Amino acid sequence: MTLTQSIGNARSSLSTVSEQISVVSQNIARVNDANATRKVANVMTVLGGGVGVASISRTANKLLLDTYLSANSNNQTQTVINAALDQLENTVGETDADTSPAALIAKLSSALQNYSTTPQNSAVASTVVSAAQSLAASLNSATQAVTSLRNRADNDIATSVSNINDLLSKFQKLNQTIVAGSSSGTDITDALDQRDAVLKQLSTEVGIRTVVRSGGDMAIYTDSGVTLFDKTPRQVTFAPSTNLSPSAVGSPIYADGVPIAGTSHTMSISSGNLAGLVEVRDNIALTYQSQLDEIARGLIEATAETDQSATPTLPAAAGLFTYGGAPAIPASGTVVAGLAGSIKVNPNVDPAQGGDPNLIRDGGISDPGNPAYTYNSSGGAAYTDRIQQLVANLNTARAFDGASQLTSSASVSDYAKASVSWLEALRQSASSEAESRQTLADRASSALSRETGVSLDEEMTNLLALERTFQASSRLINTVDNMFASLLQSIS
Amino acid sequence: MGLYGVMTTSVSGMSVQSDRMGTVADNIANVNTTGYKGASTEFATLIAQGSVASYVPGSVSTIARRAVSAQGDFTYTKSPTDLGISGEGFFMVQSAAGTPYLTRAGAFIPDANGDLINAAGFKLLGYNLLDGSSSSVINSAAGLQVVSTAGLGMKATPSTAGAFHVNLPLEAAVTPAANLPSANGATAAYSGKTSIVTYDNLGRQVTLDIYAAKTADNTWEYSVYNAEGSSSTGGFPYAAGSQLTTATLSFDATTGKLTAPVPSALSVNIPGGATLTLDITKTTQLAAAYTPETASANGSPPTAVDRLEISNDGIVTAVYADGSRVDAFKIPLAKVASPDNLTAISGNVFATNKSSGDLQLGGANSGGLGQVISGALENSTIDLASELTSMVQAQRNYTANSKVFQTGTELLDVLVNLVR
Repeated sequence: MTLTQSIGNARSSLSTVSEQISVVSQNIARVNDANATRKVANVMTVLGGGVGVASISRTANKLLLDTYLSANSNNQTQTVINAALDQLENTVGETDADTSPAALIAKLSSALQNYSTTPQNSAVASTVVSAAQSLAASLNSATQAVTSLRNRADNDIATSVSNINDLLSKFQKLNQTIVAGSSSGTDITDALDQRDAVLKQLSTEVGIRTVVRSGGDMAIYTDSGVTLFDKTPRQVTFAPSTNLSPSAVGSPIYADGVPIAGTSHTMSISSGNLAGLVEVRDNIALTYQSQLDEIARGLIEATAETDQSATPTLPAAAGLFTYGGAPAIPASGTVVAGLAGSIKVNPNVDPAQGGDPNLIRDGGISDPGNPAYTYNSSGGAAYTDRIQQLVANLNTARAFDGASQLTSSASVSDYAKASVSWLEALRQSASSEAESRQTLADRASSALSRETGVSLDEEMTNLLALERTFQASSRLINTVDNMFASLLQSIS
Repeated sequence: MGLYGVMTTSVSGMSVQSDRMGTVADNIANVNTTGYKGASTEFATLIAQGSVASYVPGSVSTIARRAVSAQGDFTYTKSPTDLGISGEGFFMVQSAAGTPYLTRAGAFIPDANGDLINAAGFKLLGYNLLDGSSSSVINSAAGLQVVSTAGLGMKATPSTAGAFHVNLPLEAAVTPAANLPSANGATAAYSGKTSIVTYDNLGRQVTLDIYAAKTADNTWEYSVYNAEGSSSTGGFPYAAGSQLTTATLSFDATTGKLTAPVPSALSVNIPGGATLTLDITKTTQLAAAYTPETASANGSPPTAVDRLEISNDGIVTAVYADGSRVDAFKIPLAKVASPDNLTAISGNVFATNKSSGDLQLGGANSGGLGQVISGALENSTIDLASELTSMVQAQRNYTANSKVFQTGTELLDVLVNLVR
């Protein structure tokens, strides 16, 4: 151990400390960056007694990251569903709100009852017509709301798919940097942080699973096992619909040629933005639409007129409520997609369109020229049988399509109420599920940041220790220098 | 004869001290020369034969020594081609004229031709591992080539081996024969698909689509397609000729482990490439979803050399931009029986001679040759403090000798003045 060597060792200590300080300064600068992990310069003794920085590593925790990714995806799905249900409820309304189909059916029923007490009063008949009109209008606007919700979900799916493709190509660049850097031993910790950040963003869009391979290479699969990234990104494709009709399901989403969501999905994803949007577009909104359609169909069926001849030969015909397919009545117990969007009050009873509201009392709305459908054959102004029959029909149990996820036999007014409570129940469970998933995601996020994030206290302590080391090494150089000086002085 | 003898003896004394000053000057001048080995002087007496009755002073002669075997400490650098040796060995280098020498000065950098050349202009020699064209001769520099990056062009490695381990869902429905992926119909049904990127001989990317479909209880079928032939949506039906292979897998009903095929591997002929052996040993059939655990293959697209890496056993590895590595050269280390007797030549190199013994070549990290340290330079072995001490000593000794000379002259003066 010569003096020259001592100076060399002190110098290696100085340069190592400056590298360590630069790592500490990086950490401190990123104390508020959620994606930054804590970097550590690993110091090693080198041959000859000096010291050097062997590598820079980061405090990553794959397990916690995976937990966070899956919690984030699950949370995102529920958030999307919850938002959609909130929106449906706000636009369609609650049972006791005046605008919901259920409330309007009750209004129609009470208007009819009013009318049955004063059947000769055509002004009261007009209130029945206007009650029926606002019911039809509410069904129409509900259909519009559902359709626009589905169209927006479809648009959002397109945005989400293009996000996924962007993120995957960003991921490819970072992955290449990491693979090249990890074989050369250069500092890749920043690229790793950025890659994790991309994964976090990706998990918002779609549930993912990651597999780390040799050389820091990473492969990404969807939560259903479809390859999203393996050396190169796989294409995620989706053809957005220009306008989704109530009967049409949206187009499926493909990843690597495999349908991962939508109809005919083979390896269906279960979480992420995408899963939530598809659930809204193809399931929740569609089911709600079919319930609206069933309400409309029930109304047409309840107000239909039958052949009043002694020997009935003609089929039943649409009465107060009609639709594009009138006068035929839609088949019982089967959803007619989009019916709620086209249901309207028969113009034959609408005074504004030259109709006669008294036809509600007398019958023959479907075809005023055909006496076969006229109930009030005597023409008496006090005839109330038909009105009472209509009131009764609204409260008579009838068959509904089981595909709408509600009871298959109920009166149309009960069915409308059941539809509202279905939506409300779904919204409540979605909201509490969203809350619990949000809690899980928050917890996973804080666990991850506690484990891998930068702690200012720790960094400041390190900084002090490094400062001391630097001072000691400088002192050593100073001492050796003094020793040489005294040696040189002895040679005069 | 005595007084003349005193003068010649003291002259020889002054002469050897100036030799010593010479080595000190040389050592101090080279205190920062990489690979410099300290010179020192030893002195030997030359005795003149006298009789018992009289003393005839002899003289002293210098024997210059060079502590070539001394190990210097290291300065660490950021360049991977800066090499140091910890141990007895020497690098083999050649001069511009092609003469082989030994050296410990390892500050190599690639020159315009890609040859690794040190600060004094000597080129590093090694065995070529790329084409195996170097013959290894244990006691001569014959067969060594200049270590150079010039021969390392772009390269593509075709995929030959890979692993594909997935869990196949136990509860999956059996796919009817007509809908099996192997039938390549538009209605193909399957439980899972994974795609793997492979490379053909020219480094073109060939993506393999691997479909898994259940054909019966505990029996599955794998169908491998070339993704290039897929339909516009990326799935079935594939163009004719896209199907690369199919295989039937059987699983043990109690453990869920793979029982057939044996050996558990898929053999896929990559179009325009090699035969890829895809290991499927760890495939399982458990009551869980389709889960890819490992799905990868070797091979690389065309990439250029990014840099060189030198391991401590002297293997020069070319690292390509994609991270793949190819061993290009092996740097041998040389040793001689008596390294301290090597002839030092300008440029921190040494040549063998009769007294040093013959050259012996061997791999680093073997036979006491020591290890090659990349990113380190061997400092000169000089300790400034001891050189300065030597200098003070030499100065004093020289002065003492001159005093002897002076006294001898004065005595001669006295003698001459006797004659008057």
